[in-house]
Parts: sequence; C-alpha cells; structure tokens
Amino acid sequence: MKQGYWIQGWSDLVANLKVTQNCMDLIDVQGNGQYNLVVADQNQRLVSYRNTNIAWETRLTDKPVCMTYFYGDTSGQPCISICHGNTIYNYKIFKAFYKCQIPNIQLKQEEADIWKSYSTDRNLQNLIRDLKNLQQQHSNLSYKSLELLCFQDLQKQQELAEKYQDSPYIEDSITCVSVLKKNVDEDKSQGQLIVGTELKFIYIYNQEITQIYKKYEIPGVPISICIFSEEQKDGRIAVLVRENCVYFIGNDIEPYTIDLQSKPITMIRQQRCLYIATMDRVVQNYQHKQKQYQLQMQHNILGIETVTTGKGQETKGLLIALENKTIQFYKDTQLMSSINLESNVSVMRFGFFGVSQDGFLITINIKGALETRTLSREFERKKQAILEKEIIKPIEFPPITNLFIEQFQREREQGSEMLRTYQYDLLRMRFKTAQTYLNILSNKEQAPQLNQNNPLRLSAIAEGLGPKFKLCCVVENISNQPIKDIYINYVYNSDIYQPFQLINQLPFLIPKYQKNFECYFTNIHQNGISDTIKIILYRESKQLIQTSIQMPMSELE
Amino acid sequence: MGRLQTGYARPVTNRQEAQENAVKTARVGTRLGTARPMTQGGRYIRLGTASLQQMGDQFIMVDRLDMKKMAAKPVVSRVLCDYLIYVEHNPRKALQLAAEATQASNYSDWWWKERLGKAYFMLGLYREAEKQFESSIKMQEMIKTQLQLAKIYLRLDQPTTAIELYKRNSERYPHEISYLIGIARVYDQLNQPEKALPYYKNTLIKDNCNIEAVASLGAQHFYQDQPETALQFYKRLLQLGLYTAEIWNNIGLCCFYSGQYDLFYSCFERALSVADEQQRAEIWYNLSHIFINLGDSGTAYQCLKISLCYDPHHGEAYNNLAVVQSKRKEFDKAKLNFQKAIESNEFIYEPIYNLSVLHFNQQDYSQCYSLVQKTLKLFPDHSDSLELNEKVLQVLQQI
Repeated sequence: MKQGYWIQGWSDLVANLKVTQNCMDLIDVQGNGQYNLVVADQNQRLVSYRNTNIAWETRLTDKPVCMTYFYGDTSGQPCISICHGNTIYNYKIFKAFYKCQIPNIQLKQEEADIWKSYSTDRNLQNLIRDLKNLQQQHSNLSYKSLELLCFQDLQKQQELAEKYQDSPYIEDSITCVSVLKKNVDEDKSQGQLIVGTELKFIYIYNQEITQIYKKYEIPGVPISICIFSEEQKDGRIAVLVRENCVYFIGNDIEPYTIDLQSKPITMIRQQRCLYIATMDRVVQNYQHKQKQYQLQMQHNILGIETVTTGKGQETKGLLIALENKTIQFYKDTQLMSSINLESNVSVMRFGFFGVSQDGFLITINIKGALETRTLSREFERKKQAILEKEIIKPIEFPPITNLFIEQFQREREQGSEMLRTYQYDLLRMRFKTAQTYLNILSNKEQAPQLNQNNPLRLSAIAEGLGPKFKLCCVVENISNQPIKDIYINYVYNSDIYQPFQLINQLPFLIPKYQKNFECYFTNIHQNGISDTIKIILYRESKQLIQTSIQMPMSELE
Repeated sequence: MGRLQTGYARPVTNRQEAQENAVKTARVGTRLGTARPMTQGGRYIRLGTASLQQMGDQFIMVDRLDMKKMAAKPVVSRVLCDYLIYVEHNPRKALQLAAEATQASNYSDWWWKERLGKAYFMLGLYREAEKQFESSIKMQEMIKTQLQLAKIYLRLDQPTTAIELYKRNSERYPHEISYLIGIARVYDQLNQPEKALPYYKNTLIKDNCNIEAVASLGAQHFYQDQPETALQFYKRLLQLGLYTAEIWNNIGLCCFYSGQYDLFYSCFERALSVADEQQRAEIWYNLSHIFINLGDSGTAYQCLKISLCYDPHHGEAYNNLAVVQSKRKEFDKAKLNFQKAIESNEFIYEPIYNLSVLHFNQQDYSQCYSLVQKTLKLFPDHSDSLELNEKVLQVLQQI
C-alpha cells in the first residue's frame, strides 16, 4: 500500500483557491478535446486552468453555490452554469451567455391571507398572533414570517412587516444542480439542466434554458442530485436531501425512498451504483435500491469521488477524502492505497485534464493549494497482488476422523458421568499440586529457590580441565534493599577435592548489582572422578540460597 | 500445547557415550528394537559375554598385546577386535589390529574392511571410513555396512546422499525397515515431518511393532490438531509393552485435548509415579498448561514452580511463569524470569518477545526496540513482533 501508486504531477501551492463542494470541474471548454480545470472560487472569481496556466479568469457577481456544465446544443461546446442565490449564470466559450432566474414561490393560502389582512389594517399585534397560531397548527411558515416571529423588538418587527407585506411571493434559492442527459449517457451528449432549490422543488429546464420543462416537489431539501438514466428512458433521478433520505423520482416510476442513518454529506453515482457518504463516517454502496456494502472510516469524511478508466467508464475504485489529511483509495471493500496530504482536502475531482488519456486527480486543500496526481501504470500490474494480500485466507483444518465422531457420541451419551469424574479428578489434581508445592516449600534444600522473597540470585560455572578447577560464581542482589553480612560455606567431599583460596564472606551488596567471586578446587583423587560441590550463602545463620555444581571429570596429571 | 516427549530422543543419533553396561550394548547392538543375533561369520560373542561379565574391569592388558601375532589367529582376532571396539572403546588399538588382519588376509576379507571402517568412524576420519565401507560392500553386500555408510554421510552433513543411499537399498531389500526408518529420521531432523510421514507409515505396514515409527506418527498427528488419532498411536505403544513416564504423559495430553476430561488425570498420576526428576519437571510443566487451559492461573503458577524446582534450566517454564506473574502485575519478578528463560535456552524467541512487550507497556522504548530486533533475528516472519517493531519505531520517531 504505497503512496507511490499516485504520482504527483503539477501543483500550485499558492493558488489561493477557496472552493466549496461542486464548484470545480474538468471541462472541455472549447470543444477541442483539451480539458480545462474550471474553478468557481469563493472570492467571486471564475478561473479556467489550461495545463499549468490560467487561460481565462473573470469576476462573478456573487459567491457561487454550485457549478456544472452541459451541452445544450449541437455545437460541441459546453455551457458552464454557475448558480448563486436564485440566478443561474451561463457561460459559453469564456463569455457570459445567458442568465436566468428560478421562479419565486407563492405563499400558502392561509399565510397569504394573514399578510393580506395586515396590509389592509396594519395591525402588528394581530399579524403576530395569527402567525403564531398558524405556526402552532402547521409549523410550515415561510421564512418571512419566521423571521418576523424571531424578533422581540417591536420596532424591528414593524420594519420587517413593512418590508414584506407587499409581495405574496417568496424568493427561492438554489442548493444543487446537475445535468439530465437526453438519450445517451456520455460525457458530450446533449442534456438538460436540473436545479434543486431550498424550498424543496426540483426544476428541469429545457435545452435552451429558457423555460422550465418539468417541476417536481419533494418532501426534503435537496443537497445532491444524481442521474440514473436518461430522459428519454425513464429519467430516474436520485435526490439526496438534508432530512437523511434519498428520493427517487422520474417519469413514470413510483417514488421510492432510501432512509439513511445519519446526516448525509454527499452522494455520487457510478454506473448502477450509488455511493452515499454520511456524517457517521460511513460510505454506503447502494445498487438496485439495496445496500450492497458499507465502509466504516476512522475519521470524518470530507468528500468522495470515483476513479474511472477511459471511455468505457469502468470503475477502478472509490476515493474517500478523510479529515486526517489522507485520501483513501478503495476497490469494493478493500483498501488499495492511501495518499497522505499536507492538509485537509476541500474539494477533489477525478477526470481528464489537458490532452492526456490518463485520469488525473485534482485536489484543492483548505489552504488554497492546488495539486494534481495520477495513477501510476505500476498500479495496474500490482493491483492483483494488492488484492490478494488483503484477502484473508481461511485456516486449514484437518479432516474430522471417525474416531472423533465416536468420541463425540460418547461424550453425548455419558456426559454426566464424565463430568462427575472430571470434577473429582480436578479436585484431586489441585490437591496433589498443593501438596507437592507444600512439600517442596518445607523441604529445606529446595526452599530457597522457591522463596519468592529471596533477595539473592546465585549462579556458578566450573572452569578448567583439572586437576585444578575454578568455580566462577555470580551473586546478584535483586531486591530493593542492600544486604550485608553474607557468609559463604562450601560443602564438598574432602577425599576428592581440596580447596585453595576460598572466600568466606561477601562485601556489602547494593541492589541490582552483580558481584563475581571465584574459588579454586584441586581434584586429589587418583582416578579423577567427579562429584558435586555445594555453595551455600547465609546470613545470621539463616540460609539464603544455595547451589550445587556437578564438577566435570578431571584430567589426570 | 504441552510438550510430548517420545519419538524425538533417538537412539542411534545420540552421540553421548553410554555409561551403561557396555556388554549389554555389545549384545544388543547399537540400534534399538532390532536385536539381531550376531550371526556374522565367526564371532562367538555369546560365548564370550559370559566370561567377560565375570571378569569385571581390566580384563585384558591392551597395551601389551602384539597385534601381528593376534592378527594371525583368525578366531581370536575377530573376538578381540569386537571387544576393543565395543567394550574397551579403544578404536586406535582396534584399528591397528584390523589393519594387520586385513593385510594378513590379503585385502580379500570384507569383515575386516568393515571393522576398519568402523574404527575410522569412531576416530572421526570419515572419508577413510567411507572408502573402507565402500570396498567392503563391493566384496559383500551387507545391510549393516550400508547403514553404517549412511551414518557417515549424515555425520558429514550430507542428508540427501544418505537419503539416496537408503532409497536405493530399500528397493533392493524391500522388507528391511531400517532403510525406511532411516529416511524418515533424516526428514524429521531436516524439519520436514510431512515428508517423513509416508515412510513411517510404510514401516508400520511392514513391521507394526516398530516403536519409533508409532511414536513419531503419534507426535505428528498431535501437532496437526488430531489428538484422537495420536491417542490411538500411543495406546498401541502401551500394547507393545512400554510403561514409561513419557507415554503416560503423552496419553494424558491427548486425552485432554481430544475432550475426554475424565481420563486424563489418571494418566498423569501414573506418569508421575514412574518418573524420574527430569521427567517430573516436564510432567508438571504440561500440567501447568492444562491448568492454564482451564483458566486456573493460581494452580498453574504452583505447577510451574514445582517444575522449575525439578529442572532449574527449563526455559519454557520460566517464560510461562513470567507471563503468569505479569498477569498478576508482578512486573519485576516477571522481568527476572524472562531473563532467566532467555539465558537458559538460546533458541526460543517467545521470552524475548514477551519481555519487549513488557518494556513497551512500561514505556521503556529503547529496551523494547533492542529486544524486538533480537526476536526478529531469530524468527524474521513473526507477525506480532513485526507489528510491535513498527509501533515502537513510530513512537521513537515522534520523540
């Protein structure tokens, strides 16, 4: 899982682009096969990058909300639509082309009546009282009335009432935009603009964007629209709304809903699959209205994007931008690679850039830097290897033997007797262990080894070929207190061994300190047979630790 | 899992000099379980043994023998040669005698060549031994000589040559199981037990009392997660008459792991009753494993202590004791025991890994790192220590 699969291309770290979702796209602006990067910046600029330079830049009248492009006529040049407020600005070949507004919505009858009555008698108290009543009944007031009811200051309310009492219409504003293709699902085929608005309407415009072709009213506020099929087929549209739902609407199909468990972030479509990212750090995959799988992330999701190849629109995988400055690349449910960035992504897009046939991943991060990356050719070759590595191989079990089955049957038939014997045996076992343990503890010879509070550790090695032997002993004080007044005693067979230079007392031993000492023995037996020598350390006539060494056979003189 | 004991203490390949009754070895031969009567021409060992036993030490003054004279007497020389090799363990003198005798018989007697080869082998001159054995085989094909030749190849660290030799001869002598056993042993020692499996099975088809094959197959099945099959094999060993602590220990373990909880303890009791000190240590170690499996760490602690009492150099017991102690939060004692485990056995990686984890949990990262490196040297594919290595590197880089 190397970062090396994504090769970093051109990057402009001081591009200073402040972009929100849906405001960046890779568009073939002039219809000549060269894809430009068009960015609608929050600093009210529209910038078009061709390769590494800015080809064209213009000022926008307001902060853009969303942007898309569609081919309205057969000229082969797309029309770039930028929406803000309730207006759509269309640009064609770098020139401002057309501007249209979405229609205003009429107030509901009851509310309209209340406002009408206000305009005749100008009684603020009545207005407020009626509006409050209406709110309690429906709670579906327009934003004008809600704003009025918010304020407590009578002066302010008076002002607002004056301002709003004229028109029975309220302005709508655009939330998202998309393109409905007419008959072929290809990049450059003709399409129509679809607009989603704050007041829960979806408008489909005709190809010249002069009038509204169709209008849908949906129960939630749309934040993302995905097109499933072309207009001339059943025109199925999936709309992601703020109220944790996805609505499916279309020409002759029944409206259908998918409920989400958490607030949605974004939704994209890849062929027949729908990927939905939600705020509980999950990306879900829906296909044929059923959830196929979901991916749980460890950090908040900032955006998702699909990676496709060439004209076949084959999916290579899904890119998920996370809040821990990474972009993770998934193929189905397996993580293929992970890209580390310098700061979090604000918008990312995958597509053709320039004249290259390879797809580029363009990212703009929150600091305004623009980066491009492409997938290396190595990835194609290594893809299979990566997938295989991640596949978990099942543990191989040996085959079940007949014997096993017989034993199993025995257990079933005689289960209670087995359990009884087993419990009895367990008691005996524990008893025997405890007994042996106690015996060993009370056996003075072996006790010091088991004594848990034993402060010393002693080990000894015999060196030499004989007849002279040297015993190198190491004493270590493993407790936390220093120990003094340690005496050493040697037990040996005096017919076989004769000591020479023995040490009888050890100095003050500080904790965690190792002290070496040596003693020499001469083997005086004529045949050089070997025997054991015991070294005992004691203090205040209490044995601390002892060790017995089996001496080797001695060479004869 | 507990440690099985039979099947891996091989008779022939043990290089330690047997301090036991040397006469017994002379009678039975150096291969366990195939007590063949010494009917090779002209060696009246059986008559000899009675008199040797009565005499005790210092039967013959070997230094004062005149080899030329001895070599002239055909019967006595052969007896003497065998005595020198098997009883006195004096290959130099045997070599002299055999050389004289070969000369005297005009290099045409295969028996003396074989004995020459054996003497060279005992002296460690393997290439000369090989030559002698090969020329002896050319004169007279004997199974024993072939087996000795194979032993030379194994000593010379050429297992494939040995295996080829065994295979060639097993085709010529299809009923001779020593070749099959030989091949299986070599594969076992090369750490390829799955290759040894068919040869052991073949051996059992031809001779279903072969202890080594039964024990090895039992051990393999046990470690391949089929304890009930292993149990069958060990029961067969009981039928063959063995009543050692190791067998009862192994049967107890097989019973426990195949689910027969009512039978296993009595097996362990029997094992303990016939065990000597070293074996007791192993049996208590296995009992501690059983208690750990049952969840009783207190009794497991006691068992491990007992085991350590009987064998103070038991690395695995120190390791497990340290793990139990660290579960009880006695970290200082655990560290000491891990170190003892590391000192007592160079080749086990678990105590080093466990100690590094302990250091990691106590935030002693430099120690942890050096220990993890040691573990990886011993066992480069250990996934847990690879993970720990990465974690430690991450932490150290942040500092």
